[in-house]
Amino acid sequence: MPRFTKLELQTSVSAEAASNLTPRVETGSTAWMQRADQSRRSGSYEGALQFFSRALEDDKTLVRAWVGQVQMLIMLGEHPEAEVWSRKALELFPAEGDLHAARAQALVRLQRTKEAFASVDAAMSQPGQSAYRWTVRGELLLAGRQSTERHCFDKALQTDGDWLVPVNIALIYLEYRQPSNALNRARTGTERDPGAAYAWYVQGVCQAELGLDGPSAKSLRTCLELSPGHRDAEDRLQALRQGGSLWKRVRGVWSR
Amino acid sequence: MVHAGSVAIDVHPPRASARAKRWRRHWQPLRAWKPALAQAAHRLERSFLGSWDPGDVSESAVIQRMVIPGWPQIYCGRVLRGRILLGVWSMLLGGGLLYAGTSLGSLLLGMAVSVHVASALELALDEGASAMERLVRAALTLVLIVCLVYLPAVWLIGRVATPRQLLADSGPLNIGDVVLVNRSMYAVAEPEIGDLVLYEIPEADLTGRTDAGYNARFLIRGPRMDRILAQAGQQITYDQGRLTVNGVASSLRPLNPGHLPASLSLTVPADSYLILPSSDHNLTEQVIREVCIVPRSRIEGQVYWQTQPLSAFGVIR
Repeated sequence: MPRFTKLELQTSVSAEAASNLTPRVETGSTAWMQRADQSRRSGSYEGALQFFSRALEDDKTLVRAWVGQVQMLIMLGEHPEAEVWSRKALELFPAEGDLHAARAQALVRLQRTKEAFASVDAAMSQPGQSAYRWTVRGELLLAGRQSTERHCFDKALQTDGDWLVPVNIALIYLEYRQPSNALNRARTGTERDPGAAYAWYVQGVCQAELGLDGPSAKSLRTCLELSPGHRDAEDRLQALRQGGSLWKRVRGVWSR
Repeated sequence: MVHAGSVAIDVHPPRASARAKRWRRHWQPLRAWKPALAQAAHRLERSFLGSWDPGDVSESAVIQRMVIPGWPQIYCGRVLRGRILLGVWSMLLGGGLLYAGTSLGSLLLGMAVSVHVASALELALDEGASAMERLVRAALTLVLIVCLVYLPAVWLIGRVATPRQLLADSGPLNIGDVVLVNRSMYAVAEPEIGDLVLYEIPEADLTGRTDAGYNARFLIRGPRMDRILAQAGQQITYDQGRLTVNGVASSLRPLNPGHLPASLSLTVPADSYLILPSSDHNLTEQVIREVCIVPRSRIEGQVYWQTQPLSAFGVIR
């Protein structure tokens, strides 16, 4: 496989030993990947990052885990580290479009727009399609204040029917302080899978950003119904009961 | 850490320290406002200056017009912006030239250069460029404009009009006054009697007495400004403020006649001029005799115009 050509695997291992080893590694890494995915879908990025790392400990050829690590670093706001890590991963898998896209996302968050565009172009030029590449392309256009970002996000939604795609787009809109657009995308997420607690949480956050305290509380309560121990949703709901954040309360006092 | 073959591949990504995260959190709000501010500036620009379509313009033509700020903008169709840049630059340059030789003049000239660089940078900078690339381009543009426009201009203007601020009272001129010196004047013509000149006084290290009778050591050097009273071969007598050249009374006086000795009599040697250093106070006749004969090579230029204070703006006679 050309994507693994940069890896230096032990050449002295016999074919039989390799065939015995491969299923065992896949089993372990698959389990870690599943746990990483679960954590990610619940909004626990720190946990997801650790599980992606565990998966890579078992099988370092898992490109999805490398991409996931970079994505989690970005979600955690560790953009310089994400950029460094994506560069390292690209040394191993130079032809992986999603890794190029992840690097582009890290770069655009670092406001290195020109390099980000080059990276996303590299991602799009790789064979195959993914919702993530279109999402990152949309983010770049959004960062550049170009109205065409919507088409890229729509394309991402068409490419993948997963509820996580619109939720990620909503999070991107929130990053760029556009809660109204974010809410539209978060609604798509809850419509795609009404059982996705995290989608309801993100929708609640968008509503709170828009000052829609009632609907926000309702969304957060739905999130807690689906995932009773969701810490972030509890905190948000508590803040809403107290009249919002400190800054919001100060503004409320001022506007009386 | 996992070992694959002979190479160890670390699968644990680098993490931001708690301090780095705190630092980024503090700066995050500023970064978040950046797009909003840029958008507001863009809207403001569109509403005041209108939309801009550079159309089909030649890059070389734009670069050539960068010699004058605002000109490239006008050429590219941003007429109002170009006029504003040109107008501001003209005012700053005019003010800077008017106050040349003073701190205010330096400040205004510096701002004029900044406007010029800003005009060029607007077209030279690429919006998509990284911060470092922008910084390098800005520095290069500044260096190019200074080297290609301002240094030659300063050199050329400095040949005919070098501003000099007076550091001592000289008769009608006071401390802080600014005069213009034409340094190329005497490259094409000989100094004439009556010319007010900037010259390097002949160095002298003399011992003597002050007018009050105290022992003194006179170390005389540096630039001076005064009038040429006589030229080579002429015999002069200066007595009680009256100057006679070859026995004929002369109407010429040094800048500050009050500070000269009562009497002086000498013949000006070849290739020299008589310039009495009237701005130096308390020089004895002996000292003046040592330094009043100025070789031709020490005369730097003609002082012909006063720019500061503005109330005295005009030709110096």
